[in-house]
Amino acid sequence: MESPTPSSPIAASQEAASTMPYRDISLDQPSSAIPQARSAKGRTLGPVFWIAAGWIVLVALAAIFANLLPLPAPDAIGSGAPLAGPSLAHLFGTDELGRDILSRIIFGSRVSLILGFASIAIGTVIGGGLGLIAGYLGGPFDVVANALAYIVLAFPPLLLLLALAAFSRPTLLKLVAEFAFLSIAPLFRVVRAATISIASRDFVQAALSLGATRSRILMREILPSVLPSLVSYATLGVALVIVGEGSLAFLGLSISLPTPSWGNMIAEGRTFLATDPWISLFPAIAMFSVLLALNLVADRLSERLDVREGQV
Amino acid sequence: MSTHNHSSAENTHRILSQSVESGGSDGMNTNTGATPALEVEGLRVEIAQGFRRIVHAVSGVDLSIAAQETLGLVGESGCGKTTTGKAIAGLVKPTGGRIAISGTDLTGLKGRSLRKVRNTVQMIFQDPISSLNPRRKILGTIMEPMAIWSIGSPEERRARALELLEQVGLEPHLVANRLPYQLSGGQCQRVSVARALTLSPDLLICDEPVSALDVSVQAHILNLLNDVQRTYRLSMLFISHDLSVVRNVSDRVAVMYMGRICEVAPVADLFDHPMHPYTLELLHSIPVHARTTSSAGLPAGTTDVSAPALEPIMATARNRPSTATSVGNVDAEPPDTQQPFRGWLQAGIQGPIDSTLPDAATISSALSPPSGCRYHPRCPCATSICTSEQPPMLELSPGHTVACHHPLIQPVS
Repeated sequence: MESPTPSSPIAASQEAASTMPYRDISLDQPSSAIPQARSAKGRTLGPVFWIAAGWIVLVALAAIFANLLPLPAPDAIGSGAPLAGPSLAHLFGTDELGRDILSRIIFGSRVSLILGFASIAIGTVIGGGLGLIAGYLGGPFDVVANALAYIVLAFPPLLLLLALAAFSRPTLLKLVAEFAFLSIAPLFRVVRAATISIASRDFVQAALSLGATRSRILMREILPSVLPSLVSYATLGVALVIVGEGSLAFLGLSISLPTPSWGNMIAEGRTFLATDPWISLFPAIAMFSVLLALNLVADRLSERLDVREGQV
Repeated sequence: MSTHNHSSAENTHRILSQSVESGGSDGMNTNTGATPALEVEGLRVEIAQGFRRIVHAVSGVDLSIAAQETLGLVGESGCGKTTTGKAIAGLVKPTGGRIAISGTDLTGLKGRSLRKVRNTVQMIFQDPISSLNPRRKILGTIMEPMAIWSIGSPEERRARALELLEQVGLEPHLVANRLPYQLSGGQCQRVSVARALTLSPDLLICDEPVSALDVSVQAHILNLLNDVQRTYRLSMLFISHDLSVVRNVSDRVAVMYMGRICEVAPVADLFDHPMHPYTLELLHSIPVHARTTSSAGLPAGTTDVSAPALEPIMATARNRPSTATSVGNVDAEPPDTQQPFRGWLQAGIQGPIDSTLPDAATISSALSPPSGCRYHPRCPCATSICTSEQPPMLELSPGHTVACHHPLIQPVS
């Protein structure tokens, strides 16, 4: 830069006015214009996230190590007096067969958690992968995939599950497959929409002109920007699947007894709702707390991962 | 360092070791031979848009850029400037025509060889924020091109990236670990320039590189482009609608209207003696204040068409044989609808700005471009031949080609 060293500010301004208009270094000095490093504010997830995530982890650990916990077996009939209220021996009380409700909730969480996380994981990989490819490539593949997604979405999910349950006795594996299938279409649509909006951005074009392959562009340019919405949406999906299992169980079409699940425990307890409400209440609280925690985690994650793109 | 053997085997070495060669550009590099940096022949881009709707974005464009030359490409919004640039960069698939970069024909190339040739053309985009991956730190953004082609070790890439940041006027240690949103628009554009330079391209396509920037920053980016052009011996295609910017950066200027080139001329020639009526309309669309003062008193950088240049133009319009009903004697006040910018042709340089704006009815659509010369619905000089025949590109004075049936010819002085 050809900046003359002026003797006074007045001389400097005159100098600037007389030289070519494009030769002016008084503005846009890179060093001075760079904003100071961002504080940690807005970068942390906050206590709510950690409490919610901690609760989910605790519930998951309890489910995994349920056998090691000092609890009566979930299907041990008469481990306590039937229909006994909460006591020190049975913290959450017992049901009509004298089974320990806390034990049944912890073992029952296995069904809800495995179903929720496994089906959404499968749905995310398939739906997300298809959404990325369809959104980026466009063309006939996109048209066909999108049309199929519309058809699946137009089908009432509960009706589909009821129909399938009517044909064959539900097992955990079948339920995972069914919920995974149902989650593909919505996840596909979310990822496809996000991909389309990112793929038109100039930095994707720049990567293309730098010689990046399509797969590299998908994985390194587009996926990182799509991931936040995918993660938060998938987390909500886990909550939805847990609710879905509860609905099916309430209709008697989920995992059959005596294997406990939160859904069938609530369903079982409804006959005693007036006299012994804890039978339904405690599994309902367990389900509610996990769903709330999942929603909070999804919410904070999407907030945190959403990198600002605009100017400061 | 300036005299590397530029063989393909040493390409890696060249990219990693190329640094500022201040004052070393003596114009004697290997590119200055007969092969132009870019040759475009009959480029067509037609984009299907729904059922039987085809956008004729680019309809037969010929361009050529010599080594280390800057060609300005101007035209109004939607005339196909950007599409032309993207087609040359390989980002839009042309439906016809030929593109050759430094003598290498792009048509028919596929896969890795196409990607390899694309490297020699890099593009700077209009939106500085959107040009950078919002989730990647600046250093990573500049290292990415080298990572794509596995050039050097991570440490070498890092060193080269830092060096590039310095070359584009950024302080490496301050910006390297930042995300794009933490930088200003001008700084982001500098990063874009650095990224484009990483692979040592031959041709840089600048698509409105300063339009989104603060006016005070525009000059710095233009200076930077000018500097890197000399340092890296680049050819440039400079796309812009801002005539004053184009005037300052270009060696030659091509004027584009509705997917076709209407006029190509050396920059001074084009601004002093426009031959295509559309070029004249463009030049007149620049608002110039202080009409009462002479053009000599205008500040440098302000584009102005000098009054004497316009006299013969008016004469041409008046003396044209009235073969069509639409154009006869301008002084005889023909119907307004036929003469959208009759006002300033008549009033010459004193014409009010408003009268230069075309009526909405005369703005044609790229979905169904007009027959013949595409400018004829708006042209004050149009005759019947303009509606039926596409005017050929003719070289009317040295280096000055015009596609017009009734060019505004200057008397030889």
